[in-house]
Amino acid sequence: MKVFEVRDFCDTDAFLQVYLREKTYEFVVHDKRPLMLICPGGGYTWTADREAEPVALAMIRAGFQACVLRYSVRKTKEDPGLGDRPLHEAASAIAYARAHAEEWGIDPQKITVCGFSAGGHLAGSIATLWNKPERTGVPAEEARPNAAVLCYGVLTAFGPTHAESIKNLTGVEGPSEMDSLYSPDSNVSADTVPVFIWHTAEDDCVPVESALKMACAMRKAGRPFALHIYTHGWHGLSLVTEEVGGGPAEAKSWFSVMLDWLESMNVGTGY
Amino acid sequence: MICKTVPVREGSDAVLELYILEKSCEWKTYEKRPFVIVCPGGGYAMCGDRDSEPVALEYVGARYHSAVLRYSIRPQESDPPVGDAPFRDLFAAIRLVRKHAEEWGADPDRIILEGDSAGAHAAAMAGVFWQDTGRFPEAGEEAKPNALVLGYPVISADADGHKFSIANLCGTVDYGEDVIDAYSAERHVGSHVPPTFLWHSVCDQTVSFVNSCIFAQELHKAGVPFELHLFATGWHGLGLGKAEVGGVEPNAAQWFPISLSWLKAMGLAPAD
Repeated sequence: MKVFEVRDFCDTDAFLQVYLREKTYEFVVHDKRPLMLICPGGGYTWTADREAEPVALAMIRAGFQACVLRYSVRKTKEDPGLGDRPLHEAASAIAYARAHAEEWGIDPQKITVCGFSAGGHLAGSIATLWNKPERTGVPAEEARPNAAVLCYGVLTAFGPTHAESIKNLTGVEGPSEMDSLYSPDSNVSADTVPVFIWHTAEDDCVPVESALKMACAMRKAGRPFALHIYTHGWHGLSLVTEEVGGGPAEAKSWFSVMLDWLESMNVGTGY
Repeated sequence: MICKTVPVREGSDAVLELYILEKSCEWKTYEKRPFVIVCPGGGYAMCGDRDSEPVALEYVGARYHSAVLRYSIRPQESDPPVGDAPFRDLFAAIRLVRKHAEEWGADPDRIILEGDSAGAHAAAMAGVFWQDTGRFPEAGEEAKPNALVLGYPVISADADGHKFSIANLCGTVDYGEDVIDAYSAERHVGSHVPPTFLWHSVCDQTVSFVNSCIFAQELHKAGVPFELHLFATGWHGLGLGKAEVGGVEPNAAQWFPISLSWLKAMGLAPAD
């Protein structure tokens, strides 16, 4: 396996941490693996390690190639709002991976973006806005993810939500006219890619309304989605394994359920 | 993650491919994780990919550090036989891990050898000969393994052994008693051998499951803790038994989680 960073895929300070299995004929699929692009959480003020490497390695074990996007964050309130910068970085990351499909040993039409918390907001954003180059700064077909996995994501700017994340994008302390630009559920359309949503009902940081509203929006637009809500569990469970701090036994299933869903969407390994 | 390749000793092309987990204040960081050295199979003619990185990564998922040892091999008959080189490579690898234990966040008292087929033969040889500095210059206390996990192992050079593997060590399939004695791990078992986990498919057509039985029998006589699992199904070289490595074998594939619970019972697993 090769583990390396890519710092020049985009015109910002964002960087990628890439994990690639090497090609060997001893494996059934060895040169056209699916890719998982992982966006860790952190409220758009930092990116969490717990939702980075452990997730990448779990995807590697499942037969995927993996890549973590360390996107731009707003370190202090004195900094301006991030606007579409993280969205541009996610779009650029997908385009970069697609352009390097042969070198990375991936299938260019099996790129899934998986985001946690604010990273879920980012994944939900690229899932709904990939076809808007005026926002992403990247041509639509290059920026398009083939599916999205939204883990306890901030998926709405309205009603019960994680207001901090939205403010770090708008740069405005209170509600703003810009909020709908940064509300993934408001941006769902007939072009939105299939999404897998999971959340815990007890999440007191990003309320479960995000998941419910996103699912409703997908239903209204007639787009494929999956929705899994667990009764128990705090915010930030990541893989729910011992390594990342444990969690309720019931929530552990999300990962294998997600893998089965990716197969059903034809963005899995195929075996 | 530190994912790099390092040589193990001068005069050998053997390398250790490391998978050292990142330290981060964000999750349950164990300053002293147990460390698994994976020895792939291949009859001493190759080091197979199927039972190397996938196995190493699976242990990483269970919160161990791991590394794959690409030990000395004899790819073709025209190449010289490797003799004791694979075992010297393995002893050198164990020493290397112990030497870097603090830097890597590894526990020097929980170094586990996992081997498959000929790789398991190498691990078994390390388990029985780690005290024999006369024959193996790199042996000794610093080269002692703390546990062995042996998958469809070649154990003996005798009747039930795998002649092809032994031939790559000594140079010919027509070897005599001294070779049999030198490379039959079951003949050198004593109380010094670390706890051992063995698994095999009864229907293995390549390396007889009797190898696992005779090793277990000797461990039992010597009072060494062991576990033995013989699966009715499976084949030689099934590795993790997943689709990725060429065949799904859900029954025998249980060896891996069972090995984890055994390591926990032996006090060698990562702390809770």
